[in-house]
Amino acid sequence: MSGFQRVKAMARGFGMFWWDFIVGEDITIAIGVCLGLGAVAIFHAHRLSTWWALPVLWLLALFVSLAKVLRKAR
Amino acid sequence: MTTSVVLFIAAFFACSVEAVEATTVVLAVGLTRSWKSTRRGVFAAVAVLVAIVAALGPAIAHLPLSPLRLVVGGLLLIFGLGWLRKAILRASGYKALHDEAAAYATLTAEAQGLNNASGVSSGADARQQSGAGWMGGDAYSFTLAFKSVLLEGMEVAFIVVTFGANAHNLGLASIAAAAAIALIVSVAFVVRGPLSKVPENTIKFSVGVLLASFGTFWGAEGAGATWPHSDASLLVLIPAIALMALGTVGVLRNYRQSNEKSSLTPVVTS
Repeated sequence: MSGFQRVKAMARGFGMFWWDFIVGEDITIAIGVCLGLGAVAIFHAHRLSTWWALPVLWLLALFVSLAKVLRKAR
Repeated sequence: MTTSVVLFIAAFFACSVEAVEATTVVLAVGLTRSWKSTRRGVFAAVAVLVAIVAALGPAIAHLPLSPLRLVVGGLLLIFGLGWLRKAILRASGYKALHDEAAAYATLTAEAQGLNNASGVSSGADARQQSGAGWMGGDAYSFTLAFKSVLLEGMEVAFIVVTFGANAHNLGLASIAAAAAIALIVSVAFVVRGPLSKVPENTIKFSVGVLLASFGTFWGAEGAGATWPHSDASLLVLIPAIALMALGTVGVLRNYRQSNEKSSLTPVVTS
């Protein structure tokens, strides 16, 4: 294995480790959380306090993620 | 006062989960392969962890609070929801319960399989042989112990720094983590066996609820939201998320049972 290939494999391993560490089994939840945080930030920029936007969006993402498992189990 | 108690409980339970996972691996490898190399692996991992925390700790303290809350709140929320999702699926029967005894048995079998493959017949022989191996020890024991302690230790450090920094009480979060690790290691030392008595899913469920609650609170604050009644809103958020999760488990369990019943009902043709 050449030096470049070794560095590439290490970078890939590093990336995979953090991907598994943060995202885990299903990306739906991470997307829901990012959308929720983004929504709160956008509303805040328009001087609206919308603390409820985050729990609403992650709850939706959690249910979508659970529904995926149920669909697979059928 | 209330925030301190909640912080201590949250950090204590979150760190207990990580400590249980790391201790199970260390016990399994140490008992079946080589305590010497396992101990070395644990010490090496702790040394690397101390270096990482020492390098990043001051940098984290100088970060502006809002972006820090946004990032760590978001990460905690993602971790917490991941745990909660798994705990809901396990409690409702859609995912197999993560059995510590099974995990211990698998690791033991794997470790013994390596012993047998290398022509070693017993634990004593393995220990003897491992003494002549890598760096005067057993690379397998070292690597497994090192990896598990480093990974779980990083999660503990992450929990301590994020919980502590956000609640402005790094000391209390560190004490909670140290107490949790001391308790789990002491229990493991006394029983010297698998940690199957710890109801892992119950702990993970509770930790998932706490991480999701703190993550929601800090994440939304970091994004600019103002919570009604400030920190006191956590006292509503935590039971609300717990009730939602328990309700979801109930619904999924009923759904699974009704599906099983309908699949068992014989089809009557006239």
